[in-house]
This record gives sequence, C-alpha cells and structure tokens, in this order.
Amino acid sequence: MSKRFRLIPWILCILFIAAQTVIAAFYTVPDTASVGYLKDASQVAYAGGFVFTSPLMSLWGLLCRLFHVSVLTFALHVLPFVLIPACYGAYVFAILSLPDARDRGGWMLFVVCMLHLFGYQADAFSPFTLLLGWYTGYALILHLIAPLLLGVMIRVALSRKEETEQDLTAAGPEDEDMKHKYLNVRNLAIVFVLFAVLAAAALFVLNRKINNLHAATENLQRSIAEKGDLIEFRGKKGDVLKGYVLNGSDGGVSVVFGGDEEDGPALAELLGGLGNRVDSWYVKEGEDGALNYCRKQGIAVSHVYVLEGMRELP
Amino acid sequence: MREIISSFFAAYGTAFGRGKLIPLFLVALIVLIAIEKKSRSRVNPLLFVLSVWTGISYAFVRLFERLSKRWEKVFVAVLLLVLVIFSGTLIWMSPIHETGEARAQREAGYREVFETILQADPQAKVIAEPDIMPYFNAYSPDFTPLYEAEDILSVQNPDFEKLGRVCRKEGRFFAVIDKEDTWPEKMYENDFDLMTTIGHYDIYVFSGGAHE
Repeated sequence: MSKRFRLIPWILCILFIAAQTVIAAFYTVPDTASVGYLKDASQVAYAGGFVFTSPLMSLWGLLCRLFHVSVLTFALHVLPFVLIPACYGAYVFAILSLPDARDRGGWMLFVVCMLHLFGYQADAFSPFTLLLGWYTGYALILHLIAPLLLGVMIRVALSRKEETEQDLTAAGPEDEDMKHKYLNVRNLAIVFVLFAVLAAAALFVLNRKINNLHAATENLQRSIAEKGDLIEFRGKKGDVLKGYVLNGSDGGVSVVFGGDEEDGPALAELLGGLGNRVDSWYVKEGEDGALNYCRKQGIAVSHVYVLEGMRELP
Repeated sequence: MREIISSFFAAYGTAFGRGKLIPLFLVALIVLIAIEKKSRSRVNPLLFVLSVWTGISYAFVRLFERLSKRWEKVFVAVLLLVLVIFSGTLIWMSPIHETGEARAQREAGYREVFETILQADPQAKVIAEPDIMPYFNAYSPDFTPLYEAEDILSVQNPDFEKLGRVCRKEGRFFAVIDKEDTWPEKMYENDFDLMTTIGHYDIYVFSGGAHE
C-alpha cells in the first residue's frame, strides 16, 4: 500500500474529528435525555459534596465549582473539546494495537468516524452516542474505557503470543490451536445470537409484567380520582388540627369545623384553590370565627349546620 | 412465538428506533466469519466484544483488502458507505443540528426563564414541556420539577384541567409552556395567571387563583 494511500484517511479523520468537536460544542441541539443526567452535577456544583451513585457527574460538578462555571456551559461547551478527541484517541490506541495497523489503521478510524457521524439511533440511545451525550457515563464507558481496554488486551495478547513463539515447545502451538478452536468469531456469533434470543425472551416476560402493572396502576389512579380528597386543616400556625376539608369526586366541597377567626385567612386561601365555594359547613356552637371570616371574603357557603349539645362521653 | 418476536422488535424500536447499528454489526460478524474461514487466519474476538464500532470497521476494512479487482473495491467502498449512512441518522441534520446563533439564542432564553422563576420563588416547583424540563435541574438544584405531570404537556393537546388538578394538590408552582401550544384562556380557566412571556415561552404561575 502506498504511503499516500495510508496518509489520506488519517488526514481526513483529523479534519472530521475537529469538525465534530466544534459542531458538538456550538451547533448541535443538546440532547434532552443526556441533559437530565447533569442534575447530580448541578447539585454538587451548588451545594458541594459528592454523589457516590453518580461519580462522573460529581466530578463535573466539582470542576464547575472549582472554576466557577455553570454546569450547562461546562458540559455543553467545554467538555466536547476534551472528551471527543479523548474518545477518538482511545479508538486510535485500540486500532494501533492491532498487528497490521500500519496499512489499515487510518481507514478503520475513518469508518469509526463515519459511524459516529451517522450515529443517531433513537432518543433512548442518545446518552450512549458519542456526539450527543459525550459527558454521560454511558458514552465514556463505550467510547473511552472500552477502546482503551481493547487496546491494552490486544497488546497483552500479542506480547504473550510472541513469548510463546519464542519458546517453541512441542505442546505450545497445539495449545494455541485448541484455544483458537473455542475462542473464534464463529463461536462468538453463536453466543451473540443465543444472547439475543434469551434477551428477547426476557423482554417478553418483562413486557407482560409491565403491561399488567400498568393496568393495575391505571385502575388505582381511577379509583383515587373517584374517591376525592380529604384535607386536614391545621390552622394559621399549622401545628393544631382545626378541621377537615372534604373535596368530593363530584366537585362538592364540605368543611368540618375550621377554627377561630385568626385561622380564617389560611382557610380562605385553601378554599380559594377549591373554587371559592362550600356546599356544607359543619361548625360547633360558638366556634364559627373562621366561617364568618370566609363569608366576609366572598366565599359562597350554601348550607351551614351547627352541631349543638356536643359533649364527650365519660 | 409471534408475541415474543413482536415484543423483541418493540424493545429494539424503543432503544434503537429506525437505527441499524446492530444489524450492521451482525453483517460485520458474518463477513469476518467468512474471511476467517477462507484465509484460515484467526480474528481476535475482543474486537467485537469490547467495541461494536471497531468490530464493524475492522470487518469491512479486511474485506476491502482481500479484493484484488478495482471494480470490486469501488463496489465494496460504495456499499460500505451506503450501509453506514443507513445505519443511523446524520448527527448534523435538523432537528438534531441547529445554527450557532439559534442555539445561543435558545440557551439565553432558557437562562432568562430560569432566572425569572428563581427570582419569583427561590425554591420553585416547576412543570414544563419535555424539551425544557431536564434543563431545570441541570441549571439549579433549587428547582423541583414535577416529573409526574410531565406527561400532561408531552401530548399535542394537553389536558390543562388535569394540570390544574395536579397543581391544586402541590400548591404554588410555575408552568413554562410554548406560546404556540395553548391559549391563555385555557390556563386562566384552571386558575393559572400569566406571569410573563420570555421568547417562545409563557410563564404561568398557579396559586389557586390568588396571584395577581
């Protein structure tokens, strides 16, 4: 292969990677599924600390705190310049680890660049896509850690092979052949297909369970809506129970007790949210302060029932 | 069996949409098996286990190298290009891609919306359309987005009455809605008051009709 033919893809790739980085930083619409992951980074940037369940986002948050940059600016405009070239660097490392990388390495990287360029699959896959979710943990595992690991493992495998070839014992090559017998692309394809079938079966079972659960929660939501609301009214200070407000499923509102005149404003605000009207109000004799206040505020009370002669049994 | 297959395709559709990265990966596997058989040279399976992208690129570059005739090479190169193009959607295509000016304007608009709400209530509860919702917490942890009500605004004709019912239970909170997606009357009917308009967005505040 001529030297020029080898150089062309490398030059194309450098231009491609530079363009992808700049466009990701300034021209791509941020992916909303990936932006959601920045929640923990924002938490750390504002309040400090470290979210152990989200170490990468905590790292971004700490860096934002250190450099006094907003999380959105840092993740969307600064990180592409570091992470996208770093990920491609990892791919270059993996590709150059192959024994015959000199001839085909440039074209391999070119195909990888093209796959990333046409990499949008669906919204759910966006956090895994390098050019849309470069700051998410998923993208970095797939495009930074996995290629680095691949490069290291290939180099280790090659160095071992060289060692074996140097110690040419009678059993050596046969052992190597035995390994090849089991660990090859055909067997890998069989494993992959088996995995796909098992995953399909698991998805089927999971899907049925989710459908059943969905049906159950739908009925639950309906039954909650049909039952209406019971609101405890805890007066002006919110510490003592002063009465109950019943918001019926038919839209009717009833109040039981309600407290003194000083509790009136809080109760009036609550009833304002329920339409400024009460169908039935039950009060104890001589304890109608909140009721009178609400009436003065323009809340329409249709029926008032005074409970006389109430006493506690011994 | 048919149900299993359809649920598999449904799950695939959720994860990959119309993307064909996985079928391309399977084609690459078949290509490599064929090359391995013909040349009797072993391919390191790590290429596939650890990175789909390097696996695909390796398979096709190996195939390309094995061809001797010029027309075969041109054919495979064009075929590979077509397969890659059809394996997903171009990242630089609208609506994923937008001009720099539009993006800067949009982000400035979001920031203005967030600042306005935080000035009105430093611990604001918010509900917004799905395209802006994740930005709230990315901007500030002081926002409490009501994710359970997000579905209400994600449809073409939102049920504002239902939104009002949710708000009534939560107390005071803010709704950020694209101007083109609702009529203010619909919001007023459900006890929302228009606080302000910023760019494309109307900011409504719900306070049981008490806010003036």
